[in-house]
Amino acid sequence: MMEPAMSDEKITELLKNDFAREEARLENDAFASRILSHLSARRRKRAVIISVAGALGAAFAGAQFVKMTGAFSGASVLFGAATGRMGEAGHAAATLAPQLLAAAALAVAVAATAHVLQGEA
Amino acid sequence: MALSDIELVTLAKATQSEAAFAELVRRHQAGLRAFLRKFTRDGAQADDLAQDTLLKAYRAIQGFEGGASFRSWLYAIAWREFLQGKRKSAANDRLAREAAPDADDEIDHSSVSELSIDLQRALASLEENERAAILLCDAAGMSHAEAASALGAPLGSVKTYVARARERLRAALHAEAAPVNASTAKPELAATRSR
Repeated sequence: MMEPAMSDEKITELLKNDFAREEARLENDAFASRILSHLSARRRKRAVIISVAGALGAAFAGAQFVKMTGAFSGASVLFGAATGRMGEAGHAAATLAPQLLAAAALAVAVAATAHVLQGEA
Repeated sequence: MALSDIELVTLAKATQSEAAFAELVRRHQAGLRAFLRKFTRDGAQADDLAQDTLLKAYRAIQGFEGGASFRSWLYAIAWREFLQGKRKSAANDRLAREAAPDADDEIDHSSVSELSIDLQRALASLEENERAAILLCDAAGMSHAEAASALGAPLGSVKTYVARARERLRAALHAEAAPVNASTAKPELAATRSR
């Protein structure tokens, strides 16, 4: 004799239980940590690329230091001419050593790279 | 208190850090893999798909706008990955043919009960859309709307897939349970007979 056909609820219950068993079995295996270490590896790779690019940029900027001081010397002359209109701030800028201004510009670039790297960490 | 999926997504988008996304991975990987395993009946293929899905989701998280649940968004990526892989690989065309109910060797018997084997065999007899829809709605507990979003199908179609899948599963399981010719009954034939 044939058994009565299953109800929708019974089918849903069978599927749900079967799925829950499978899900529980997969919950604590190594898959998640494998995915997360894969993501970490990608992040580390990006950090290395940014660091290398930042270091190359810094080296290039360092090599141009003399040129930068020259450019800032020109700017100081302009600031000096404008001192009367710009007040104390303009006077302070005009009296700063060009080497100091160039070093400050490089420091800003290094800080920006460090900020990006911190975001990657 | 645990953060909701949407809060974690917002955090992941705002900070671009992995910590929030890692929590989402821990929360959803087992369900996603269970769905893909039940759907493809191939553990290795399912895990490859799940890995591609999660990595793609990580890259695309900025594009998640919260119109659907994170889970259905994730499953939609998985479904697209599956369809894309199927199109690319001629080998995957075999899946449809192997979906025949007598593809008994596809089923891992080591960890499943007799009833579960019958159920998997019956699931295997369904068409892809029907199998995906009933797994999402009845097994994974998604709403029809969530499943529609995940499968990129109209809501009405998903309801039809689920209803048809239940009907075919009922016929297949009924045939399996029948004492006469139970071992040789073909659920697909039984499904056809029952209409």
